Amino acid sequence: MMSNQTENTQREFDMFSQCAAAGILWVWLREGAIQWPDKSAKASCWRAEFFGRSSTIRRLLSERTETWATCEESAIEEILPGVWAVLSIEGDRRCEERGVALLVTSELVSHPCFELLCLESQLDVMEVRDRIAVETPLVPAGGVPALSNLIRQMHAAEFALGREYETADSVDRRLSESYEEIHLLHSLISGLVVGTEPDVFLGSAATELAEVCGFRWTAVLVDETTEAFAPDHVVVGRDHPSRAELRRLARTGRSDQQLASTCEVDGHGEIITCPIHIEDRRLGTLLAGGREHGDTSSVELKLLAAAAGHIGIFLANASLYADLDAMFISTLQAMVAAIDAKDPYTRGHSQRVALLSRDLAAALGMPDDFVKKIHLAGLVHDLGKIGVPESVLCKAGGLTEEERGRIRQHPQIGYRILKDIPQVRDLLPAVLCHHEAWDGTGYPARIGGEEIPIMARIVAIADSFDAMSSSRTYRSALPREKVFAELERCAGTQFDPGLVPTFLGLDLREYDRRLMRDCMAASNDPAQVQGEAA
Amino acid sequence: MNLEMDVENARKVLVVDDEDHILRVVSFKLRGAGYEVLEASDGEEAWEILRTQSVDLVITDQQMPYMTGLELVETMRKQPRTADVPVLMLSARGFRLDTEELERADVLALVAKPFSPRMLLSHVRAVIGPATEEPEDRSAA
Repeated sequence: MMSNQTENTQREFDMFSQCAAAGILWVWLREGAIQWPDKSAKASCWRAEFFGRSSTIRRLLSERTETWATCEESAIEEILPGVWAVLSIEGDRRCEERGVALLVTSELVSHPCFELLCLESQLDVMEVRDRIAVETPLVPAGGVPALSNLIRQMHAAEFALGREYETADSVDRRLSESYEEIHLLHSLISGLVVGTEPDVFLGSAATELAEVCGFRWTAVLVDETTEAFAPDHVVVGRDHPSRAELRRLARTGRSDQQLASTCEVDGHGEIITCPIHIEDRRLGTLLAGGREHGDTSSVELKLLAAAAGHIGIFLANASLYADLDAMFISTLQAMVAAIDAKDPYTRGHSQRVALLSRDLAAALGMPDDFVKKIHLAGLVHDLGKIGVPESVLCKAGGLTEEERGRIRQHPQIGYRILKDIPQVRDLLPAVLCHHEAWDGTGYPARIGGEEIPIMARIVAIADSFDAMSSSRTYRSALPREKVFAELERCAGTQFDPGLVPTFLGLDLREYDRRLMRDCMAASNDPAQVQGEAA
Repeated sequence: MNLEMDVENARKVLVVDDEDHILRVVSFKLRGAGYEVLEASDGEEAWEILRTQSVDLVITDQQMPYMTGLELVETMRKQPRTADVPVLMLSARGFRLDTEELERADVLALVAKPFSPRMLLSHVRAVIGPATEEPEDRSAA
């Protein structure tokens, strides 16, 4: 299989050589003129020279050409005795093809003008006679109509074939473009997984687009309204305009249309901008430029628009996901606030433990995912206190053995409450084990050392630190240096000795601000006054 | 009506795939860039061509009837005349191929389907250079 363009050239040549085999010279009529065959077209034999070089025949032909180029009907004409021209027209006004078959009949050879024509064409009369005799016997004039019919049918068939080639060519091109589109969409869709970090998705979408379309750079600008959960811009590639320029381009390209459009920018050549929409909401702009293979075609515009569509879906999903995540955390916080409210002295305790646990985990170099989780673990670690009577929780004096037993059940109670919520499954170790001690003397399971999950070991330190740093029903807050001394003293007995030094190095300013605020709020709370009175 | 074109000194690529539309798209893209393209619809047909003609590059699908792409490459590597011909392999996305096996067969790159014809063309250019030494037809790119 050759490329379709080559096939069309081949087709034109086929028509010519098939006619030549039957002793007919076929010439194409293009833009009102006869297109004589190349010298290299050997198949034309003596006829090409006979017709092409004789000034008499050329004059007669050029006189007729004007009519042939415009007439509507095919025609047969005897332009000289024994010299015939068959005009063949195919197609319609939109796509038309004209050709003329030139043939000689046996009448020519016996006519006096034959020798004259040969002379004009610089052909040897005897040689031509000999060749006619051995090669292809000439038809008589009576055979011309039948022959011209055959020629027209052949032309019709070749023309139809040419149309087929053109169709095949455009189908091939469309198929190739569809492949580009499918490939790009495939790559983008694989990144549409909920929870993919927005900067990761936007970066890979921009890279993919640049590679597929041959852009030197691509950029995604996210509108301010959506910035809360996504980076405000992502640019990949080289030689791209500055961020401020991109912003300006995105604004100028702003219009109601949802399609990609191109514009010329000084110093950057052609730049394509495409708005990123989800339904009627505008989320940002996709920009690309510096194409390495010439001008941008409709294919690139289409691909860019498709990519913008997917980025829109992703941003909308990411926004919903961020909302859900925020709602989940606020729900946990509300639950926790309910526990803390049972005992005004512990108001804000869980939030502060969450803060300290997060900071300690980050200072220990834990992965981001873990840091996020331990913050939640800190929030819910005391959730089990919901199952401990207020009379026990808020008791000012010493506790009886039975009361102490009730309080010590809170890790298991919390575990039972939370264990069926899939989203908090990872936090359960902290809830269940935050009262275990490094030397195995804690509760409920009396496990020790590294048997205690790391999450629980971190929360345990944060929990104790906050308990000592804030006032409780049974005692007032300890000064910072006493708290630190206590932590150091208990490193290796109650606490993981490997974690305590890092904790002592934490920046506690945010914690102190929060503690202060919680204390102020508590002292204005009538519940506490009541508690004190009791 | 110069039919010879420049095909004679163009680099030659053999494309092997049992799916017509893949052959069609790859050929369209490579011919548009000036390469000479030979086509085969399975490994055995490809091997018949390789035994008689020298090519600059083979692009083959992995999953084909009679002979897989990898089997074709292994056969090629055993014959001195085809041992060093570079190979790019096409494979359905998600189809697991043993990287060790690919390395042993010296397959240069694995291209997942659906692929981008443009990126495939730039792979080909990177491996065997442009279709001819003369400047290429830019409109084809």
